Amino acid sequence: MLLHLSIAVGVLLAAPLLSQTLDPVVHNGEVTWWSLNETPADVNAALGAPSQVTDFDGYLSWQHRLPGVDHESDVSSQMVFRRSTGRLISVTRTYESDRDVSALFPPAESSLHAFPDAKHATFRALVRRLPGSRILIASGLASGPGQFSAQLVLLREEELTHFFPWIAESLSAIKPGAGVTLPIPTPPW
Amino acid sequence: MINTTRLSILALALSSLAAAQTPSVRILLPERTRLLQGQQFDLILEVRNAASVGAVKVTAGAADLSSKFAAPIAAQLDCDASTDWVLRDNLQTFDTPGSITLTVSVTVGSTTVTDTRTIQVLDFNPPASQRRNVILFIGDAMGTAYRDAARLVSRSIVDSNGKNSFREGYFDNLLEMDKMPVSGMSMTYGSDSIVPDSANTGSAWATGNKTYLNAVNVFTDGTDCRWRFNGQQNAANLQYIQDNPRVENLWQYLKRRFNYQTGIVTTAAVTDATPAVQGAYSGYRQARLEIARQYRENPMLGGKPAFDVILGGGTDPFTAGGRAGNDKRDLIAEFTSLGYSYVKTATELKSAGTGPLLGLFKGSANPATSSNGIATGDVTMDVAYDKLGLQRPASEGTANLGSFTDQPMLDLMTEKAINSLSQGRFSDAPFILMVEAASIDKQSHPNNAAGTIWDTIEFDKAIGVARSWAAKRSTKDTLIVVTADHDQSMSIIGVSNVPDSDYFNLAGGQKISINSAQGTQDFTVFGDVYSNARAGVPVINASTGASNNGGAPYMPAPFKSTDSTTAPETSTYSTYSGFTSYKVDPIKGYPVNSGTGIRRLAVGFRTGDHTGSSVPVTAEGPGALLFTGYFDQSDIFFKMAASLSTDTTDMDKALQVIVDNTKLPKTFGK
Repeated sequence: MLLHLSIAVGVLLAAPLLSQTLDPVVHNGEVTWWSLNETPADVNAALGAPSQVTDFDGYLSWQHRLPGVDHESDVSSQMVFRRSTGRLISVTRTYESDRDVSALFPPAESSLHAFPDAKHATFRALVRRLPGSRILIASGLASGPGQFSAQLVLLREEELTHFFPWIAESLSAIKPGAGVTLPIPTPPW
Repeated sequence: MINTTRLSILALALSSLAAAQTPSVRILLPERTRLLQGQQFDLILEVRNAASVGAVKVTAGAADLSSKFAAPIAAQLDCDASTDWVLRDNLQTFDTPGSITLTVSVTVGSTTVTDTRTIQVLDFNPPASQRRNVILFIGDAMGTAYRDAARLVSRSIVDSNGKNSFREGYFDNLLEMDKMPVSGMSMTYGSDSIVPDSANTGSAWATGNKTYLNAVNVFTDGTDCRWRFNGQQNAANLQYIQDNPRVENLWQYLKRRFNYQTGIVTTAAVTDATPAVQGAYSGYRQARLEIARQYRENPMLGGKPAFDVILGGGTDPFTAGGRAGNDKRDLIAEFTSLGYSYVKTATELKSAGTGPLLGLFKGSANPATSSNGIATGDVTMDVAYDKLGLQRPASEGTANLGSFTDQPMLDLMTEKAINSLSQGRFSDAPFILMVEAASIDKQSHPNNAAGTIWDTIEFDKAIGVARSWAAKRSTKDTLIVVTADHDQSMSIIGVSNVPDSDYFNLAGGQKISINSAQGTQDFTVFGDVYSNARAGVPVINASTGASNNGGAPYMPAPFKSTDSTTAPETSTYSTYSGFTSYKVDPIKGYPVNSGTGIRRLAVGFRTGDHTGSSVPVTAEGPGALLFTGYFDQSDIFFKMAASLSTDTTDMDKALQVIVDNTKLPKTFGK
């Protein structure tokens, strides 16, 4: 199993990317990624100038494309700043296809959330609280075995109720540090 | 000592906070909303920063619309902590032409907040004897350079005697779209950016109104932040994607009010943005399952199907397997139960009858549920190059039709769509059809020049089918409009017979030197080097110092220049001089792009994305003269409508006088 997890982490991280900061890194069980305290200048230094900036409802979204990968509106990375404060509130990493994200979500620290409810789920999200009042979300998980996702979201916990109210509601019943038992990843991925 | 700067910042912050908490109401219609009389739209009000909503009064001129609104619904707008409300009056219409002042007042506590819009409502009353057809051709991303490239490749054919149909700068025979008598230019800006996408540009011609990137016939609203912040089109976000104010498009408007037959033909997935604007309403173009559902049960038509003819790629969102993570509906079975013929190959399409028709030529009935949400894979039909069995240039990968080896060409799809929509029903049911060449854009994104150009040629053949059909009709009753949704960055460079290996083997980041008029210049290859038919030079001058020798930094490098000591036909490097010359495959009717004795068009791509440049429009048929000049893309909607509802006899006669007068100058080849 450890071998499988190592492979999964390697697959997740090995692609030739714009920068190492484009994807989360797992080291000794800890996730190293954005702190969400980065300024626009920090983001620019790490990822370069965005391919596109969109402005909506009080937010600025910096969108970075990977050459030869993205098409039209699908972008590899979105960094969203609240315009009034300039604060980075979320980072979204979107992949071309599903990948195993198990290494990012140790069962003891993670929880699985379903929309609209577990019985009638049409959409799922795997959630982990990270230090610094950050929430890591892997969304669109397949209903089969393994933890597969094509999108990771890192969000300030205070923003969860605004962007993912259904997760915020169910997560409020789980104490920080607690998790739920998750299905064990099954190769091949 | 008090720091005055800090005080100013504090005061600004406090005033901003106060402003943010001030109650307000907003009518979710743009400032310059235009509608046809009777065109349906959602009239939605957003009330912000209000603990409760009291009296609501909405007037449109002298009419009181207040009672039409449903009770206020509590909402969390703008993804912030304020308390907000939404009031909806779905599928409202204004039935009298003119300028209508829409006024809203809402009582919030002891305060009354207001908002106003002035809506232009245009007349639409076709004469009883005037039942006209519209065929709108959309070359996706077909800016002027793309039309030029198709002409320079397909109309510079050398015959068996060595005579080139493109000589001395003139053509013997222009493109079908060039021969249409009226031309204009369309400005394609969206409501939120100068460089648009296929969704908001399509919404402009389909509804007559501008909107934001990714929007399919809807305006923005306060819950867009829920999904725009990460681009998710999942089930949890669907309610926020689908709650935007909708504006009825011309296809549903004509079907609902005047019993028009409606159709879409595309080489993309039929749920792609360009075809979607003819039959769906969504805040986000990638909500493919929802778009497919709306084709089957359209909200503007009381749940009836949006189209009588659907032809293109993208089987997945129509199958129970493709909708496995959603409602598991088999939309194909539902269409066939309603009398639609369902075809999956070119062979089946050729033998299809004239009734309602659903043709899906690419895609899986049981796709992987990787997205597990709303969207399934974008399954575009293969490019003309591959459907013709031509050899791709080395730079454009290997053709792989997979199991879809019998896909129809666009001209066949167009012919069958017109036949299906017109035969036997014309006297009481004219039609409106959109035909899209999608891969002009989709091949331009990766800078596949040959793929792009041959698809434009395929597109022109489809235009020829429609022009020929319309010309044979006893009554000249069909308006044909050809345009693009937006431009892309290809440009015409010249002519080249540079061997593939000279450019294709350069890798991104590789340093090269070129001898130019400025001396030896050092360059860095910017990404891969692409070609058309050859060439395209995304080679960037990365040097800024002495090694630059006077060249401008960060500008594309020049082509290697013509070797004047050698005959151009045999010169290795002849870019920038002479004319294109191709041979034609006598069976397939397309120019060939390989072999000896041809001189290929050289094109360049500055980016792999859309641009904000205006795009050409050409028109033919009743009301075509309306399409002359420089105009906004949303005007195309009103011009098409005007050609249907206005007596255009005088303008059509005036145009015909110009076309028929042999004393007036004529372009060669037209």
